[in-house]
Amino acid sequence: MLVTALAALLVASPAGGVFAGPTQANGSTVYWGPAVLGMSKAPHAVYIEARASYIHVGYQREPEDASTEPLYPRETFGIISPVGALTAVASTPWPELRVFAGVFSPTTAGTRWRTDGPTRYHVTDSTAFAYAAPLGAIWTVSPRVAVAIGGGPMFVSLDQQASYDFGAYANRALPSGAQLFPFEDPELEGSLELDLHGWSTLVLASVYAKPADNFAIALSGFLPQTPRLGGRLALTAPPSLADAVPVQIANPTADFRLTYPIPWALNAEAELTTGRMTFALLAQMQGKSRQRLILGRVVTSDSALLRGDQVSVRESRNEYTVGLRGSYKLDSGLELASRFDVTPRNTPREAVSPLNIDFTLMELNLGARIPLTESITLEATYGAVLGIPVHVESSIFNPRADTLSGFALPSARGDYTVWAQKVIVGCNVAFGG
Amino acid sequence: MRPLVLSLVILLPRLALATCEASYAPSAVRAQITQESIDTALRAADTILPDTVALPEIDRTVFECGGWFDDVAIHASGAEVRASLDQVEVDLQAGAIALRVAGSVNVSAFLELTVCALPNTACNVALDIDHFEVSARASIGVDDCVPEIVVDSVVLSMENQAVTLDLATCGLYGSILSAVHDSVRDALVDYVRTDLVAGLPELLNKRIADATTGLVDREVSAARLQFKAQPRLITVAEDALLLDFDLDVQPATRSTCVDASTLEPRPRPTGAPIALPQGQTAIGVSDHFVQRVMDSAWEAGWLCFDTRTTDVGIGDILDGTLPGSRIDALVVAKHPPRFVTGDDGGGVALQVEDLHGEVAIRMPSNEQYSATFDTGVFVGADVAVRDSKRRIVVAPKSLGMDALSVQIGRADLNLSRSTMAGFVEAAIMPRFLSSLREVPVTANVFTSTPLAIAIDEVRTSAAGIVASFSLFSAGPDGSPPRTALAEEPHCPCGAEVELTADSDDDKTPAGFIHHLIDIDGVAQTDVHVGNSISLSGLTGGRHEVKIYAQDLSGNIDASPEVITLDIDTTPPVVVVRDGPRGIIPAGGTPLRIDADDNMSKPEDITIDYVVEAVGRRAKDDHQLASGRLKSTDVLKLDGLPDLSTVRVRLTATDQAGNVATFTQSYAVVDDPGMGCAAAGEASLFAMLAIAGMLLRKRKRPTC
Repeated sequence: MLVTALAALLVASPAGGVFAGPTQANGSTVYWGPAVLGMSKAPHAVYIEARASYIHVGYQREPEDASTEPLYPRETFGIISPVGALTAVASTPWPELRVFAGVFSPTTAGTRWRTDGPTRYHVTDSTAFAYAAPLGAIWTVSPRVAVAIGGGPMFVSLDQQASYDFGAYANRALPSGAQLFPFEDPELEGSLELDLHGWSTLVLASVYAKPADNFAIALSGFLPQTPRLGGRLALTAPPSLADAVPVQIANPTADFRLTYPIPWALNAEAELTTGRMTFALLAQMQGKSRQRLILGRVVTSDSALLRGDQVSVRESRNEYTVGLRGSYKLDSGLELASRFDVTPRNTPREAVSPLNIDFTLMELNLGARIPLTESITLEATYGAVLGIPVHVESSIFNPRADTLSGFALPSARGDYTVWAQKVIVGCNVAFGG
Repeated sequence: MRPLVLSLVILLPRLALATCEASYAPSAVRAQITQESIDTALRAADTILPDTVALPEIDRTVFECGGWFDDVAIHASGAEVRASLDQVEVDLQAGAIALRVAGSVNVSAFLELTVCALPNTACNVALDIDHFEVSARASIGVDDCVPEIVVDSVVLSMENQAVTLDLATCGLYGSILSAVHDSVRDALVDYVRTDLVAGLPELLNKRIADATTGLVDREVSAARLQFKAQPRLITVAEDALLLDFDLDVQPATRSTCVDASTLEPRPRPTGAPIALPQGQTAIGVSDHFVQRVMDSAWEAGWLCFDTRTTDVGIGDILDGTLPGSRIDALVVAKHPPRFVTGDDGGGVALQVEDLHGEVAIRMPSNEQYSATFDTGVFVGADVAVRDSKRRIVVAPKSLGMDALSVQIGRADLNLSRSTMAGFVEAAIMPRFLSSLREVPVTANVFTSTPLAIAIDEVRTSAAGIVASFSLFSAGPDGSPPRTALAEEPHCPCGAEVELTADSDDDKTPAGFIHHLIDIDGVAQTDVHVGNSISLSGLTGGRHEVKIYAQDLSGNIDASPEVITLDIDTTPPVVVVRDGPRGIIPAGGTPLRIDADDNMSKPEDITIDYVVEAVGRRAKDDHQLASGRLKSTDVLKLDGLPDLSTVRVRLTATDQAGNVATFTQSYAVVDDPGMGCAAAGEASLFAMLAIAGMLLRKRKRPTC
């Protein structure tokens, strides 16, 4: 029975650029809360947003015991993460009722660690993403209040590769002190590949209120139904071991089922306009504790090595973000904005691993929004993200833990760093008015 | 009938004692029999004499009739003497044994009479001597390795009025015979007085020879060892009899582990008899003989450990992870172990200077990866007496290694010397130790019935091993024992069942009653001595077991104890139900244990738990807590070391003794370090404060 540490490093802060939030109408509005679309003067509108992020992650692994383990090289990887979002709204014969539709990604993550680096037993390449396509209705209760509800299908994909330490696996059968095989021996290093996909649903709701002409508040949230992913789990043994144990070890595969919860989100924003200046305070909470323990099960396998339950211990906790946006609107209609977000780290430091990194992120976004015509507005954002380095002194991961524990992996002690830059462009098109 | 003296002798051998053989270890064993023990043994007084002694034919002329007539003469044939001893006393004096025997004698004979002019006749006659006494003084020694009693003087006395002759069966001739009554009586009495008494030394020595032959002819082997013995010296001291024996021991079979070409001729060992404690009946085994036993045990393969022939849990240890893989180990001592005793009565030790091992990891592809190792070992051992066999044994109990050297054969699997050394130390050597059987340093002690012994104490010293003991005598016994069990077994039971007997007998002490077993109508070959009855190899299902008690005189109870055993060989199932996974706090986490079994009730399932800290990398695990639970208990994990990996092992044992295990590991994090406490984030805290005011009405995240 094998242990898989499943998905994935968070690669970006909450969706959207400098104008992201439940009081704003743009491409990511279906994520932040579509109730604000009930305030739109245009009967119909389409909002598109494209984001490209470059994330750079570094890890300096620390040996558990410097006298018996090598000094590991510092490892880094960079990854470009493209994410898009679409929101569309249309009027109905009933003036107070509109319909909306959209596509957004509730979560996106990935890693690109080296296949021969010190992180390889946790993960090398991984990509985990979900896309939801909700459809719903917006009811404009009054000129100052709107509510929206909706739901739709969600597609989730998880691909992951990692090295597998057959030496550590075999050692677990041996009594204490009798570990016959060296840990992390390349001669005993196989690879594990996971390719899972699944469908689920997502529901969302939001409310927007404008108590005063210069003050608006909005609340929103979405709740994904936990998808059950299915796919293939493949194990490749190292050549020496495959030669030695030809039938049982060599490249077994399995049908794998994984219960993979997608975090929910709750958002709140308050926006105050004073003349040309606008200030907004944004808060978000993501229900990442759903991913604290991820359970998988091998349904069928051609090898006893791949049979049994699989557990991934991530110890994820609910995560919150607070941000402050300020903007200034020029006479030309150009609105310059900046926004600063902070997302404190919530995963226990001891549970941090090259697969499960959770930094305290500080994000500064600078952007602008300019109306090209009465119906077309462009948005652009440049963001810089800096993660507070994480030093993991003690790690829950221990290759000598029993297989069922979910943390029978090499120690993840060391220093973790991250920074990222992102560019977001969006186009808002209103028509029909 | 049992011999008196020789039933007190230890003996093991099977070689005839006709000549002293030079290969024997001299003065290997000394036995000391106290006057008190001999008195105990003599309670079985009738065992000193044979059932009957045949008399030679007697021809005697009573008187001459003269003339034409034949003389009156008697011819006695087929005569037998039966003696019943009321009193037997042996008084040990310095250099001599004073023997006093009192009892009665019955002589029966077939008498043919020639009576003057009358027709000859014949009839059966009986002579009863109601009371006689024999007082003898003898010395005992060893002549050419044969024990010999020299009777220095014999005095027989009997009272005339105690002698009667019964001629009733002689019919009409009775009156005539009455005329010769005194003559017949005198003839028979004279025979008893002269021939029989004169033959006493010969009788005693014949009994000794018979007994010795009985002992030495018996096949006595133990643990692949063949023991032989011959008397060396018998000394009569004041109130004690000292018997020194030369012993030899040879391997019954020579192990293939031992390279015959390395065997060296064993020199004749030398050593003085071991000193025995005054006033105690005891046996002492000299250190030089124990060493010789160890030499032979080594030749017989005692220090040879081969996983291919011994199931000790190494061979298939990898099978669950690398299917079809095997690890085989061969461990053998190149030379015999050196026997070391302490001076203070403590344990003993066996020092092996050159233990050689070979390890082979075989894969299904028939590829093999090998390593060899050499080390010195020091085996600590206890000396004990195994009641069932009445053996003094050396029982290994611990093992220490010294100067382990590992050589790797093929490196394809990247086996390293350090990891292989760990495997040798933690996996092979403990199993090697567990494979070491107890080595008997005497094969049997005092097993001749109706005498039995109980070992009181076993001590070791630099000179060897001394066991002191007590004797029991069953005495004449014609009645069988009563079979009983202390309590009915509470089943379901496992394949091995321990019963406690409560049988008793009027003569045999309970500890020496044998129990014969019949299972489902099939008599078992094992004999169970004492109160403990061990049944093994029982298959699952219901069995009828009959238990018969047998006393030291061989009487068997005709009314066996009959019990029914329900045997369960299916292990229970034990799990942690809805327990935590991953991280647990050091402060405490309850684990709800569930156990179930096909036959045992949940309350009859015991669960032993061990909580251990799992070492990282090459560091060993160490135990944090252990204990026992019931199946419905909750195991509270608390006081765990922070930032450690702990493993909980549950071992569930059902009523039948079947065992199942469950293992789970947890990471212990007492105070998970959250973002605000992270290093380098102090400046962040101030910025978060305002937002936190809005958002952090919540509690600290919990697991």
